[in-house]
Amino acid sequence: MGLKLELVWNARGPLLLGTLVTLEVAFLALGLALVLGLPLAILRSSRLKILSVPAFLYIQFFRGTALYVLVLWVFFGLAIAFNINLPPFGAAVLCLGLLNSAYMAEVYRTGLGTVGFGQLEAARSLGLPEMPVFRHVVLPQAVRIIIPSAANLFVDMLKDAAIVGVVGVWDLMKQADRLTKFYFRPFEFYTGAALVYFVVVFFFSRLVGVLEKRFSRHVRKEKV
Amino acid sequence: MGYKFDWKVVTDNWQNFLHATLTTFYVAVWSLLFAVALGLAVALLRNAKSPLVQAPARIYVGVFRSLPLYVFLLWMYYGFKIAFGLGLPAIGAAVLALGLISAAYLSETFRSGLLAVDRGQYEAGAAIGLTTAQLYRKVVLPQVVRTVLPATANQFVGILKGATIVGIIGVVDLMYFARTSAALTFKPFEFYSVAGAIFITITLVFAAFAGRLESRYRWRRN
Amino acid sequence: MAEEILKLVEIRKSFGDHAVLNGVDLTVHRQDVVVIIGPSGQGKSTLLRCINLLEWPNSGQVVFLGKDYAVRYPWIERLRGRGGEDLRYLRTHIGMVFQHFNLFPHLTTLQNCTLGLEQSLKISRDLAEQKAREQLDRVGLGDKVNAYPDTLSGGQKQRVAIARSLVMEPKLMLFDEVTSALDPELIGGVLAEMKRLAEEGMTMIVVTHEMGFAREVGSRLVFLCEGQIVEEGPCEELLSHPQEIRTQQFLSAILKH
Repeated sequence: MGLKLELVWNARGPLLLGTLVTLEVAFLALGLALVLGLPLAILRSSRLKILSVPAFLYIQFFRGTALYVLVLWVFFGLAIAFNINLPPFGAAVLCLGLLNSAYMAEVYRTGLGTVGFGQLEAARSLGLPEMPVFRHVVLPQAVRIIIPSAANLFVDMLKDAAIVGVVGVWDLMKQADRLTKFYFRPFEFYTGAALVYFVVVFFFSRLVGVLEKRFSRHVRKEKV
Repeated sequence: MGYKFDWKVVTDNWQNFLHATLTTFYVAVWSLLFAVALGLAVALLRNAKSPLVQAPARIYVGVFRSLPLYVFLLWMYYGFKIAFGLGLPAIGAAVLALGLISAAYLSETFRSGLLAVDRGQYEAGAAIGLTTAQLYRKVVLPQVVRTVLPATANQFVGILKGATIVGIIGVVDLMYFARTSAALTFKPFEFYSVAGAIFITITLVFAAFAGRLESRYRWRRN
Repeated sequence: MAEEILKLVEIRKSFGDHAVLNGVDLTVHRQDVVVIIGPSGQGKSTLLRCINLLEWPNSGQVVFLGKDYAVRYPWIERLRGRGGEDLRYLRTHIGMVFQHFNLFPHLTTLQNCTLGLEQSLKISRDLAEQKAREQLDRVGLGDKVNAYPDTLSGGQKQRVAIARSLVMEPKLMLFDEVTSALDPELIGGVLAEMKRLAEEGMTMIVVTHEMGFAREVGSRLVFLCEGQIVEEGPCEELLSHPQEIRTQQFLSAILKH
């Protein structure tokens, strides 16, 4: 039984389309995580228990769960039980985004640090305008730690997103599955998918490396 | 046509749930053992003096850290079976795939643990006449183990999370059981909720354990 | 004439193209307390480490108790273990105390001391513990046998390090700036230990900046500068009447405080 790798090349259209979908899911989820993570981090760092405890629980919950478990629960469990018509793409982005918002919250907390929050509180209690303090003192330092960590998280998200085909998103893997079922050649198509994944992830990993070098020049790195 | 919540189907099946959970756990533990052994070997290779010996280790780590588990799992299980007629049982494929990928990550942890051992330790050991083997066995490796234990525990949590997808190739694990039960009983919410709850509990327990290890082995350096 | 314990002949050592030792000759007799002084980074530590072969000299002889150990067997032989027993003999009969202690953090002080006895000298666990307790008692840390290094002060750690070396019953003890990393108030305790050792007749080579120690305990002073011995002689004499200009400059700089 010979290997027919040309099939993969012939199917590059749908495979590339699937890759784009995967990237879309990852990017949108990243956006969600970045946006949600910040208020979460602020709540978590608050001195008011009524704010910090729910945030803590949220973070613990999402850090303890796996994407597959969450996605199945949301798409098949929640949606069917409460009769919500959730599109697969939306569900995937939602789950991936919510999950990683918890990790991003921790990144924000490390980046801004107790120093950052403390300075803001000090400014507030002294009646000083917070914005300038935040923008010129805290933010530059925070950004140096946050951006590389967020970039690393994105690469992880790309890898995690491989399973969204399970709920019907036409990502790279689902395209590969479809082609496999049609031609009955899993090895060729999964090899193709693996190669594409490898190239994409490798590319972004290198990018992350560049970012890390650029941003860590003057800062003592803390391990997230 | 509302959804009728029926939690009894879950409680009636608690034994199967338990069995399925243990299967997931079983896969995770074997993967960890495999990953630790392989990771250590790769770390030692990575630390070798000759670049020629280092090269395969570096390539391995680079490749396997870029590969999503799902992709590798399918590739290994289906790909090999159909193309080359080499059939691996689903559990074996799962452990192998999880193990190979985790080993790549663990080897980096082990490597930094190895590098973290102060040069002076090697000198002190040599000065009292220890052979290289004795030095590693009694001085270097004990310190490395204590340093990497928390990170390894964290990696185990990662392995647990990865192990959730092995049901896709047919391993009768927690999620496989939840999926098939949900399909049979038309009660997906109940089954997925319970499966999720079980999973989170296990993960959080081990994460807490890893945290305790971290505080216990905090070296106050010389 | 006292027995010749150590003889270094024409020791040369370079790191890359940076020559650290440029032909050093030194003879040490039994019960000598040789104090090596000199500017930082000019070979003192390297010289010491050539003695127990933690560093291999590029050329020269390291003659310990009449036998030259700086002999490199060819690669093949070393793979089969030859040269290993020689090295073991050398290192178990020469004790070394380091600037940064280098205690094994995962072992108790007792275990730190018994490790060498059990592994290198193949002494039984019980006998090893007995000897270790003795030595720890003698350095005044008998009550800390089950303590871990991170609970000890710098001075205590250094004394454990000394005990760890002494327990092997060495013929020669090497001290590499052992008080440089200590807080001032802890230095005295360690120096007192070293003085006791000297009075008990141990042959010692000490690299240090502590001139008081040199004057009180040292028998010979060696001034090492730019990888060569510029001047050497009896401590008292050299400290009061250095002959060479460089020696004079160094001593006046270091004795200013």
